[in-house]
This record gives sequence, structure tokens and C-alpha cells, in this order.
Amino acid sequence: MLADIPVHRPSSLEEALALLADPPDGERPTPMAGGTDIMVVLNSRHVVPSSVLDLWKLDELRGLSVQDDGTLWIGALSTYRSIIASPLANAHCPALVEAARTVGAVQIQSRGTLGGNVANASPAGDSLPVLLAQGCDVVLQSRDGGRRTRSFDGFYAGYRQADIQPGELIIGFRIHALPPGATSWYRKVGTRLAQAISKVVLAGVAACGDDGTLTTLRIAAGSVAPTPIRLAAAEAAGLGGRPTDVAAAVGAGARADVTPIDDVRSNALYRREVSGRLVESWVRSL
Amino acid sequence: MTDATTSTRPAKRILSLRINGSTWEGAVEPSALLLDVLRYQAGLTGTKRGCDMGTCGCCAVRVDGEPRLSCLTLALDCEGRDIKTIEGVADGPLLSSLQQEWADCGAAQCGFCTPGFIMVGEALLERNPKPSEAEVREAIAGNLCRCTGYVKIVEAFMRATAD
Amino acid sequence: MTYMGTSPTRPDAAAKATGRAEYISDAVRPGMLHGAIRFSEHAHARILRIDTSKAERIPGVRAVITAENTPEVRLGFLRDNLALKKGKVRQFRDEIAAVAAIDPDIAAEAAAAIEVEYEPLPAVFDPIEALAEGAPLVHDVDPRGRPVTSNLMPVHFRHFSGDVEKARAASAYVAEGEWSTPLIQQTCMGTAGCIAEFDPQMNLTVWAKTQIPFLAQRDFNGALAQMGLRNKNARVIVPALGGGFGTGLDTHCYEYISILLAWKTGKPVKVQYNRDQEFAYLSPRQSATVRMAQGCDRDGRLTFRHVHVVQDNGAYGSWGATYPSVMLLPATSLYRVPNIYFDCELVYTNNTYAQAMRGYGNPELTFALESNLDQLAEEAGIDAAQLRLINCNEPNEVTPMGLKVATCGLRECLEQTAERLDWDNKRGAPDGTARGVGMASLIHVGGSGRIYRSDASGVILRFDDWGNLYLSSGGVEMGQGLHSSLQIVAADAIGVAPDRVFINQTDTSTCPWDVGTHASRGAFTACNALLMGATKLRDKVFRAAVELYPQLVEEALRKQRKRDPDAPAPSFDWRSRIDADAFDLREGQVFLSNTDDPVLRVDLGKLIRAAHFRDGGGQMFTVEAFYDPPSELPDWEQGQGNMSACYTFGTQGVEVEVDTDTGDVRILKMAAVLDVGKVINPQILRGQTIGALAQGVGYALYEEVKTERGRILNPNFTDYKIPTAVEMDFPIELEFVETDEPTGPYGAKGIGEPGLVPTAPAIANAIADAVGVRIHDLPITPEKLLAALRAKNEEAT
Repeated sequence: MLADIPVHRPSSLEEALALLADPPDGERPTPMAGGTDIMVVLNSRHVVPSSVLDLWKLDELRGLSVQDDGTLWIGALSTYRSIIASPLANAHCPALVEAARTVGAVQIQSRGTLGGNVANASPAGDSLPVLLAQGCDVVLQSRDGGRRTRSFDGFYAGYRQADIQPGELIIGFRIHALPPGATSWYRKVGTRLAQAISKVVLAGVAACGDDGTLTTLRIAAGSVAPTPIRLAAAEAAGLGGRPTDVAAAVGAGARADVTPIDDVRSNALYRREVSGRLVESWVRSL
Repeated sequence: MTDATTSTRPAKRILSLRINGSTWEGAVEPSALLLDVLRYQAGLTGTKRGCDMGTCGCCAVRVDGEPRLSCLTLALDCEGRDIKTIEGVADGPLLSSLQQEWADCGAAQCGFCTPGFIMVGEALLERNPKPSEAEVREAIAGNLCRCTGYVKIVEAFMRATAD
Repeated sequence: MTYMGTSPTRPDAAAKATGRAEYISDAVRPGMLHGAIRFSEHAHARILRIDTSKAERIPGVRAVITAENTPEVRLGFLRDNLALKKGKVRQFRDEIAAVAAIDPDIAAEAAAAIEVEYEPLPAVFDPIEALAEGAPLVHDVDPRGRPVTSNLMPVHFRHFSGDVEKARAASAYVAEGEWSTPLIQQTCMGTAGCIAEFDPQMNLTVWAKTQIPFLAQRDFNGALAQMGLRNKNARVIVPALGGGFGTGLDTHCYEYISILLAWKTGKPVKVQYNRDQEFAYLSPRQSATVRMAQGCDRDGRLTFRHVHVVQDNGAYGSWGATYPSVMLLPATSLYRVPNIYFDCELVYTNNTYAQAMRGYGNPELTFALESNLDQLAEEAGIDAAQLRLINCNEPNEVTPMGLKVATCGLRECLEQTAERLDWDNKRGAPDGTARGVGMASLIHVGGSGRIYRSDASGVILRFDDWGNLYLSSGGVEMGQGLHSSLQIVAADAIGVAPDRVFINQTDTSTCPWDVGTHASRGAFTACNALLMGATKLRDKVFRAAVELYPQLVEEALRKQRKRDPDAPAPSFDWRSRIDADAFDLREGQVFLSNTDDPVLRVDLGKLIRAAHFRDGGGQMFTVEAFYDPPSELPDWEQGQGNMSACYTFGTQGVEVEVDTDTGDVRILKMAAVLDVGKVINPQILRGQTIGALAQGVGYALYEEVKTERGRILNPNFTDYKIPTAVEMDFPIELEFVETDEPTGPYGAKGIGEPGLVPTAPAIANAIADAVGVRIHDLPITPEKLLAALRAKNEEAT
């Protein structure tokens, strides 16, 4: 029942970038990684791209490694399954592993990719708040422009608007190392216990100094604004204080930071309230 | 039928698949789903269409051993891969141990979801012959069943692992 | 009895486990075309113009039909629906036109290419608003063309007994409130579809996903008459169903459309819904609002019950509009209540029209009744389990509705549920956690439900020459295990091994009448018919045996002597015992009762062949039986009548934990105790009960078809949540109380629906026990729960 459209199947990154730079049909094809989002769109026939660029064969975009500067490199086509199974991801970005576990069923985890999640630019993307909270650079490449690296913070200009220039593909991510002594946190509140789209998704990184006050506090949230966001007021309310003293203020900050909406999955009131309560509970537990 | 298909459709390509140990060859549209090729071109209707969105698991097959949702898989992506469908699980009248337990436990009620569960289950048991109940439930979390409340399904898995 | 109470492998098990069961989505006919339907884009609008010219020009299209170029086909028991709409549309899913084409993609493309011009009309989506003066009329005229003045449907269900106002005034305690239940989808895993095909004589065959093949035959024959095909017949064949849950209780517009397309094209035409079409274009369960008040005296004895229901039927009437017929059961007869008021208003709106779903009005009403009962218990300061026990139904009572309850295990159900939940220690325990326990009970028809003139089921039994039993029943195997029950009862009642019982595919051309597989009646009525037929069939065999058994035994003895001249003769004079009443048949062997001498056992096939090929005129072994339960068609205006042969009772209990940060509810444990009369097959009984309970969990916590001005917002499993194996990961303690119902086949009652009836109120009551807030509208979402918890905290501070 799929829409009848051309599908290009490059076997190398070079070929893929050439197809994007110089589309054979004139119209630029829509890149597809594991297809867990785009195939649904194609099946529904509601919005039909003119053609698809199937990236699945590009093994050079797979794999995880730790760079000299301590950052964790994750190839854009790395699946959630491979992230869950990776000792490097478990050691360097445990929150991402937790996020990956909440993405759909095993069948979805083995097709869905980090690059796809980021490029799809849904405000509900399960992994995105982790990348924001821990800090991350996105590496893109095009035939004519070569490689470009930019911060993931600010990567989305607005609802479903990712900073991917025409002809560019995301090739991977450099996830920043956790500060010494820092812990990370991930919490997804879904529409059901399993197999759920998020109603609120939260991620945090925190560290306390010797005096027990917060020296690092980075909190990010999804499904509560047009894009995944950092919770600036919440962070400001917490930094420098003792977790138990500032927890309530951090929660209040979170409630102020979010600008959620009512939709078919939840409502604004709930999303705001839950963001506040969960952030507060987490900070209190630090 | 003499009608020419709509001229705007992209040209078909010849695809060769290895399905249940045999070679299948046919002309498919570039955007053809593995699910449709299996059901309508290869005549393997045991694989079910449940939702077209990867949300129900009815269309699960195995591609190179891994469970895969055939409604989210392009047929052309499976060129040269080893595909197994529900039709390839039993050896004639000899059911696989999971299928046998499925039958003995009465895990199929309406039975429409069963092929998807079996395909995911075969993959799980091959990877992990002794899964815990929690691991079974995690593995089948992407397969919906409206009849059983999953109790007999989980029971069939646990009995299949007890051999 | 050898097989009653055991679980032989289901006859459909291997076919389903190997993917070989054939569902409607798998079925293909030679030369088959594919149909696609063009649905309305407005909830309420006049159709000004339909232009099909572009669609007709698409290569591969074989026919495009509208109400203009086809005969009018009316459907629904109120005759208020048309297969293809004329004049105006009344809901988003109204069928305006349809296409038959050589493949489904072309059909879909052509359906989309049809141009429709509308004049939007004011629409009404709330049943209360629909009843207000001056509300837009969904139907301006009735099916006979007479003007209509209100959106109230011409369907009445009432019951008044005693003096409710006087009883209310005299009550020591009264609790009242309003509860509402959402539109929900049955979500059969196999989506709807059919194939219609005319033979050269213009007789019709429909492969239909139906639970009512014989009423469907009647409906389709009516359509043939409306199409001018006089003296023609429709044959209905039922493939593997892929789930029913009530969706097969009515015939549907898509079925008539495929018939019209097949008639236009002269080819078989298939219409097959995919998932989003199933969500958007197949009727869900009604939403209902129930106002309920109950009172009791100082000792907790119920004094009155006052019930008013408003049911949103959407734009057309289906059998689902008769939900109140079943609501009457709990309203009048769950627990003992002397004074009762029940009334309901069934309302047309421009929402999607609704239809039957498992439980048929009972879950809606029981949610209100059992929630309200907990409130009353609190009001009266009586333990909620105790209050139920005080008012418990007992065997051999006649309820205010006139239900003749012979067997009733409700007391045991309540007591066992309380015990399994550790009720006395956990209920109301201020343990500092957000955990709580709750319970709720049910009454449902256990001996079919007479909502139609006939409530009957026929059976045809035939032995072939090898002693195989062929059983034809009009009942539908939809996964519930009807065929397994038939096999077990046939094996015990007739005397053949279960795997020698072959059950024919349900087909109106070969199977006898059955009113339909609904109202938990399948096994009850079909097995009762089978028991009647079994007696006839055995009698026929034994009468033949009187004549043929001696010669068959003599022959066996001759052979035995030839093999072994010293073999001992039978120990008694068997010849003098020959009498039709002296025979028995077990495991396919005919013998004189009280002997186990193998030489005196005659293979049934041998006996049948001897009878078949007998000189001077053979015979066949075919019998029929027809069972119509001993029940009454109630007077619905009075709400009086013993609508079922017997009644099923049960209680469910649940322990929950609420996450007060997120409002998420986690079920820790459930107990379900059901009075089943007698267990036929424990495996399928568990399957049916727990499967229904899982649907009850979905109803309670997750499921709702969300709409905005009549348009469905969540037509997919991403946003319409049914429970997965993860949500259902809690222990379920299931117990059956056997009360041995005299009218039941071997004592069994119908159990198909009850499992989901009390689940939602049990969960709601447990949540109230856990966190002190009560949610009155299903589903109990985290959003509602968190908002209620906030409101409670604000009140406290």
C-alpha cells in the first residue's frame, strides 16, 4: 500500500552525498535511515516525498568510539539496539542507553537510529533531551560543503526545523564527556507503560562540589515545547544550592520553562505539572 | 487485464529473495514493502497486515535471523538476505517447539497476531534459549493481542524454554 | 464424562500456529476486483454535486458507483442508514461513492479522484445539546419520509418498580453521582473486509467477517430485493474471523457496497479495510453518561436505585442502540434492590455511529453502579465488601425485572475475591503508600439473551462411513473456542474421540440457523442443541445396531476362532441382551454396556458401513436438532421479562499503586472469580476470561477514541492504546465457581463477555482506596488523576 515513488540506494556516503547534491529527478530525495518514521508517513500517503534516499547500506555511518578528547562518537546510522549493546555508550552516556530502551519494541530498536531521531526533529524524540543535557555536537557533511560541526543546542530553529542544509547528511554525533563526578538521569512519561510516545521526556546531568552544592546542573525536556529545550530557569534555580534546599525551586523553574500544548496524547497542564514534579524529585534525590 | 499501469509509476525492478530457503524472483516497484511482496507476490499470506505503522507486530518476519517488521521494510532492501516467514517455521507437520507449545497452551484465540508473535519468539529463543518471563514480555512488547491478555502467550514461551 | 473439564488441543490451533488459517484479508477469488470507498469530509452537510468523471478515466477502474446510479439499499434495524448516502451526510465516515478497480492502489487513487461539493450544515456532537430545543436535526425525516422533530431515537427501554421517591426519602444513607464512559474501538487484530460475488444465475455469495451469518443472509437477501433481484439468494461464508468483539453483530455499508460493485461489474469484489480505516470507518462502542443514585438503610440493605442513561449513538442506529436492554440487567438485578427507576435516552448526533461491543451496555452501567456503591459504603460507614455481601443475590430468586435466577454463586465470588486480595488487611489501610484495593461484581446473561424473536441455534450431525462426526453449527468461531467446546461436548455426548469431530466452516448453505454469536451464547446454545442431537444420533446408531451388531460380532468371533481356535467364548450370552437401550458408544466403538470384551466391541465405522450398504435399502446417520432457550422476550417499555435461561455472576478485585508524581496507575494484582456453572474447557475459559479482563483494563485506564467535532483524532495504535504484555504484567488469580446450572449444557453458563464487565469499576474503586480521589469518567488517565490529586491537595491546604 506504499506510495509509488522512486527509492535511491547508494552504497557509499560519497554516492549518497552526490545524489543529494545532484538529484537525478531534479527534486532532492528525502533521506531515510531505519525508516521507522518515514515509512509510516509513506504508508499513510498523507505526505508523500518525491523520492527517498535509502541510507541503510552505509556501514561507514555506523559504530561508536571514544575520541581523544573524551567525547563519544556515535555514527548517525547507529541503531538504538547497537547503543543499548555498546559498553562505550553504557559507560559514557548511560542516559542515552536508557532512552534507547524506551524507544518502541525490539523490532523498532533494531531499525531506529540516532541520526534518524535527530533528523526527524520531533519535539517528542526520545533521545533528544539526553543529547541536550549531556551536550553534543552534530557533524554534518555535504558534497560541496564538506564537513560541518555545530552544537546540538540550538540545532532546531523551530517546530520540526533542524539545521540541516540542502545537500547535507548528518553523519554522526560527538557526545560530550560527563563532568567528573556527575550523574545523569532520564525519565520518559509515556502514553502507556510500554510502546509509548512520550508525553514528557526529561534528561539531566548534575554534579555536586565538596560542600554538597550543585556545581553542574543541566536539564532538558521534550514534548513540552515546539522543540526539545533546556530548562534554563530550573538550572539557574538549582546551581550553587544544596539539592534538598533547591529542589522545589528547580521544580518551579521547570514549570516556568516549559510551554506545552494540549494534544491527542496529553494536555498542557499535565505536562507542566509532571515536568515540575519529576525534576523536583530527581534533584531531591541527588 | 489490459490496462497499462499509470505511466507516472516508477519502473519495476527484478528482485531476487531467499525466502524460507528457496529463491523467489519477481518484478517489484522500488517502494514495494516486503509485506506486500510476501503476501501478494510470493503468496505467503501467513504474514499479516495489522497496522502499516510498526505498532502491532502482526507483520513480523525474520531477516537474516533478526525480527523485522515487514510493513516498515522495503523489499528491495532485502536483496540477497535470508528471509524467514511463518510458513518456514514448521517442518511439514512437525511444529517448532514454540509452535507446539502455542497449540498446546491454546495461545492462539483469533490467531491473527500469532504469526508475528511466533517470528519474534523464534528470534528471541535462538538468541536467548532461556529467557526470563520479564525478557519474554519485553521481547513481545511490540506485538499486540486483543484476545488473550497475553497469559497463555507468555505461558507458551515459558514452556518452550523449559525443554 | 471423559472430556468435560479437560483441554484437548483446539481444532484450529495448528492452522493458526503455522499461519495457515485463512482470514478475509487472505481470501482471493478468481478475477477479483478491489473496492474503495469515498467517505464524507464533513460531519453534517448537504451533498450538492458528485463528479466521478476523473475517477472513471483512471486506467484499471471498472465501476464507480453513487446513490445516483445504484438502487437504494437501506440497512439497520431502524432502516435509518443507506449503503450509499443520498442528499446529505451525517457523519465524517458517510459513504458517498465507491470504486471497483483491478488493484487496491488504483481503487484508492480513483476514490480520491472523485469530486464532491458540499454545503456544510450546522452539526451537533453532544447528546445533551442534541436534545435541546432548536438543535440541528441529524435526520430530518424518518425512513418512511415523515418529518422528524427531535434527535431522540425511537427506541425505549424503561423499568420502574416500587416507589423510588418514597424509598429515597426513607433511606438512612444515599449516594449519587454521574459517570461517563468513552467511545472505544473493538480493535480486532484482523481488520474488516468482505468479498461479494454473483454467480451466473445472479445468486450472491458473500465472504463476510460476521458474527451473524443468518441474519446477514436475511439482510443481504433484503438488499437483493431492493436491487430488483427477486427470488435470488445470498449465501454467507465466514472465514477465520480475526476477532469479533461485537463488530460482526450488524451488517455494514461496506458489505452492501461490495455487493453493489459486484453487481455492477459482474466480478467478485473485495473491500478490505486497513487499520486507519478500521479506526475511522468501523463503528466503535457507544459513549454513555449514567446518572446513578442508590440508598440503603442503617443496616446496609439497599433501599432504591435510580438510573438515568444518555447514550450517544452517533448518526445511525445499529444493534448497539439496544445496549439498554442489557443495561437493565445490572440496573434491576445486580444485588437485591426493591425500588428501581431506570430510563434512558438514545440520541442521534453527528458523531460516528456506534455499534455493539463485548458486554453490550453492561460495562457502562456497572461502572456507574459499582463506583456509586463504594460511595454509598463510605457514606454509610460500612465496609464495601460487606455492603455487597449484605445485598448479595442468592440462588432461586426472581429479580424485579423478572429474571429467574436459579443458580447464583455471587456470594462465593465476593468472598473469594476478598480473600485473594487480603481485603480485610489492605482495604482502607493508612499504610503511607499510594496503594489500594477495590472490587466490583457483575451479572450477565448466561443462557443467551433474547433480544430478538428467535434465540435459537440449530445443529446438524452426520457420521461418515468411517465413524467421523461432521458437525454443522451456525455459531461462529471467532477465536473464543466455540469449536473446542463443541468438540468436547460432542465427544462426551456422542461417544467419539474429540479429534474425530470435524466442525464445518460456517456457511449458510450447509449450516443450520443460529441467531448469532453474541450475548455469550455461542457455547451455551450450540452445545445444548448438540446434546439434543447427540441423543437422536446415538438412538439411530443403536437402532441399527439391534439389527447389525449380531452379524458383526459373529463375524469377529469367526475371525478370532480362525486365528486362535482356543480363544475363550464371550463370558455371557450377549445375544439375549440385544436391545437398543442396552448399547453404548464410546471412543467410536459400539458395545453392550457393562462389557469390556474387545471382541464384543464393534467399530462404529464398520457398523455404519454395514447399515449404509445393507441389502434392500441402506441408511445414513444424519440428525438435526434445534434449541431455543427457555427464556422470554422482555417487554422493553416495562423492563420486564426473563431474557436469559440463566445468569452468570462474578466479582473482580484489584490492587493498584498510583505514582503521585505522574498519575500513572500500576496494577499490582487482580483476582477474578466467576460463577461459570460448569467448566467445559479450562484452557479456553481462562483465555476468554483473562482476555476480557485485559480489555477491561484497557477500558479502565487507556482506551478512548478521541474526536473533535465528529472527526476521529487517533485512528492508530500509536495514539489509541490497548494493553501490551507489559501493561498486563501482573498476577491474575482466576477462580471458577461451579454452580451446575440446570439449563446449561452439562451445567455450563455462557462466559464470553463477563470478564470485562466489572474491571473498570474495580480499578476505579481501588484507585479511590489508594489516593482518595474518584474518577467518574473513563479512561482513568494520569491527566485526570493528577488534576484530581491537585484539587484534593488544594482543598486540604
